Amino acid sequence: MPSKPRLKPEHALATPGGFSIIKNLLIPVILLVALFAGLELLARTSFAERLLPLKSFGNYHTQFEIKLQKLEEFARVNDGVDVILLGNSMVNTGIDPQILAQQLSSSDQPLRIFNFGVEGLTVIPMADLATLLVDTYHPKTIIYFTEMRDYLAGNGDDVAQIFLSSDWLQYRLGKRGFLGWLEDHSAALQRLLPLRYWSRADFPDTWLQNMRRYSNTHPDGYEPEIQVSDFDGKLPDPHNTEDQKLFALYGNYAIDPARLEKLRSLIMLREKGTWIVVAEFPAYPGFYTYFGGEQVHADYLSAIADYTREQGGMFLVPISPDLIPLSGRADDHHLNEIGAKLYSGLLAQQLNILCQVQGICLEGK
Amino acid sequence: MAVTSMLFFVSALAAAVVYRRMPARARTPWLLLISAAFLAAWNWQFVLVLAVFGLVNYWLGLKIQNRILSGTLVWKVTGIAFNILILFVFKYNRFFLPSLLKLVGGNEQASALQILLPIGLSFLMVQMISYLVDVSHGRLKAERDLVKFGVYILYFPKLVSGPVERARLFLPKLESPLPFNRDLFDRCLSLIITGLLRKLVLANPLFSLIPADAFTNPGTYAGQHLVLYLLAYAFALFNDFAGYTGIVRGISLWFGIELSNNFTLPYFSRNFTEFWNRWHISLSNWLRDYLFFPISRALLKRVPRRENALNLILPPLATMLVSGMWHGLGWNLLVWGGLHGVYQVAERLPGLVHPSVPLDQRPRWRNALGISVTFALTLLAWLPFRMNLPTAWAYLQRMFHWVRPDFFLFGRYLKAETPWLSWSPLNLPNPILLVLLALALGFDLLLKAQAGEKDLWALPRWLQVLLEVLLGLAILASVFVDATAPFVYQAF
Repeated sequence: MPSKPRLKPEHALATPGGFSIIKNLLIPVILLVALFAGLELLARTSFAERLLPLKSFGNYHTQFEIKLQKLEEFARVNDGVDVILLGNSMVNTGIDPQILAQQLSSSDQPLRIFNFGVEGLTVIPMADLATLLVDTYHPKTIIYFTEMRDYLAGNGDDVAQIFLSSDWLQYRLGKRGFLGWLEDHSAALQRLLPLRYWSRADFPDTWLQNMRRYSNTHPDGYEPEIQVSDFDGKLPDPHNTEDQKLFALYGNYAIDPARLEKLRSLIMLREKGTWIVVAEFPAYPGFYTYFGGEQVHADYLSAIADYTREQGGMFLVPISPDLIPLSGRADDHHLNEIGAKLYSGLLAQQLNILCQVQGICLEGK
Repeated sequence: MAVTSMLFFVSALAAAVVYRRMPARARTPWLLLISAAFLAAWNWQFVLVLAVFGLVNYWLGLKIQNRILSGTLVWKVTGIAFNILILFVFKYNRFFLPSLLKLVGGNEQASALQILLPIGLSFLMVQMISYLVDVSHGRLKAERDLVKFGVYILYFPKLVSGPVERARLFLPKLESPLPFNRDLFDRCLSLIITGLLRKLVLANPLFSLIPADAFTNPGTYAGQHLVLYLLAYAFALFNDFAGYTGIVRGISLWFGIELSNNFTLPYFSRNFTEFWNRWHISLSNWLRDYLFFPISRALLKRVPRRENALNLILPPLATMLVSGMWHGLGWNLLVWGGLHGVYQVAERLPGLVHPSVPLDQRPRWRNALGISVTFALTLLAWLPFRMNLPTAWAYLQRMFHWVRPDFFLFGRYLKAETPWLSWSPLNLPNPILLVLLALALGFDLLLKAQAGEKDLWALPRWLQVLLEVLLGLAILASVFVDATAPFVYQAF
């Protein structure tokens, strides 16, 4: 056990340098300011872009930030954007804008179409996100792909809450704040923020994963699902524990009126000059078993279509899901690369017919 | 209220400015008031519990004082028992309450009978025991001024996690606080900046770089990673507690009250006796003075030979077992204490054969070996400190199962022959963790080489500025990162 300590008393320590208010406080502050100014200049060069390709606005949804960065670049290169395809992960991997643009015959020039499918976002954050996109990029059309889960009370609320609480998003939606302003204006901060998770144990993996997703995402926002699926089209099994969770989550399906209100605010963006089309993505029919079967789905579809039209929006009748073979599906609601090619073509056909028969055409520049 | 929060700093600074400007007679009541307010900011009920706790000890102190001539044993024992009982009721109840309730036929689940654990109770308990013992031995007169006694208990810089202060050293400081001058200002700033560096730049990131399940499910990690996580834990724990102590000592100096030092680069200790002179010094000194020495003296009275086996083994072992129990009731902490007891017994054994050479007179190689062995054994002892015994054992075994890193794939990544996919399959250490460990070790080596222990202003100026810039960056970064870790020792 310890003997009496032999260490020197603290006050006896030599302090040859000593403390100086100017040297110890002012110089570090000046150095920090100079460092930030230098970083800000550096961040605006192509060198910084090569060194740290990912940008962040402080939002926790990295895939959303990748999409936003790609859209910014897309609009810059193409001098704007005509059509934004909005929706969740089903849209992200399910529609190739390049194929869609090539096969659309409504315009002389190929339309500038961007895929803004963001994982896990329901109609609640989408309404605000659409406002942001319309205010920033003024697209001629937004096709919003919605689905049953968007209107299920409570579903995705946690993601929506975190997503919407971002200082930057709030700033861009009109709520003034210093952090939001800084995240919006500082190029250095935008380049450094993706590194903010550096002290997490999984940082090396997530960083590489994000970089991979960034490079896999096409300049037009499409992120192909390259995994070969073993989806065999079997129906959900009420005895399977994993399926039971989904039955519990989606069973007793009812449309939440508060969420319909969000859809309304999204449709109302037409008042800002953007044409809003509401559509449904062709999930595998078995997917609707969780919600109570095909009839519940049909009732939902009819309710959403009526509501959209009542609000002055346009509802695009979904294609038959049978047109997409199992080999084109990654699971019961996502498409893989094969399915995405197929569906993009089918969607183009559908829009072409709409243009030819009803004269409702997607517009370009 | 976290001591690294802006609110804490601003409130403490405002309180110190008022304190320095008020008449001397009003200063102690002011300290009591702000300390109670600080405590109430955690939970107002803590103030009531600690007020009662303090009043009983105040009364016990007076009782002992009044019986100095007629014998104080009964009151002293009552006082010690009271404080230990309080600790058991408030802190250790979850260990015995369910069984007790079951025994009397109650619902075992009534352990949901949440008993409020006031912050810093373990620290207060040892301070109260030393106060009562010192009064009974006539080393200190019982404090009659209730306000001063209240400040001794509640003084906010030391309330949450110490340092453990002796009343006989602390109370006189209330009478004559250090004047605020340039020297004091320098020291305050040095302590606070060093503390913040340790906490924000080293401890917090080191803690969060350890995967959440590494200490609960070690079987899923390769041995080389587990070694690294244990190293990270050791440095994080030290920097966390040393950082906290530095900050509160610096803040206390604003009020002119010097608190005890708790750490002097413990991982450079050449043996375990030295380690316990450098690690949590205020507590280990307390254990030395109120346990180790009394036990040693009692044993020497019985058999007055130092070489006697019992005289050799019992004092360090009993002291370290109590130290383990003080940290919490659990077999793992008892094993942690027991290991340190055994280490100390083992290093006393050679002294029986030949007289031991003082550390300062030993050759350099022997001291280097001593530092390495002491550090390695300390590291092993952190296993039961951090996790339960079965997991600690599994962790220890798994530490020797190294998995060969995939250098081939790493080489292909580096040569850009394949895109970087993920890091984990490489089985290489997290490079950020390595950098931080190097930074933690480097910081201590610098302080050791340049300043003896911890005076930032004794370092070369360029290094001071560099460290301050680093701290500035860490503080700014913390605005954007939500990865703050609470001080580990607040759990005690």
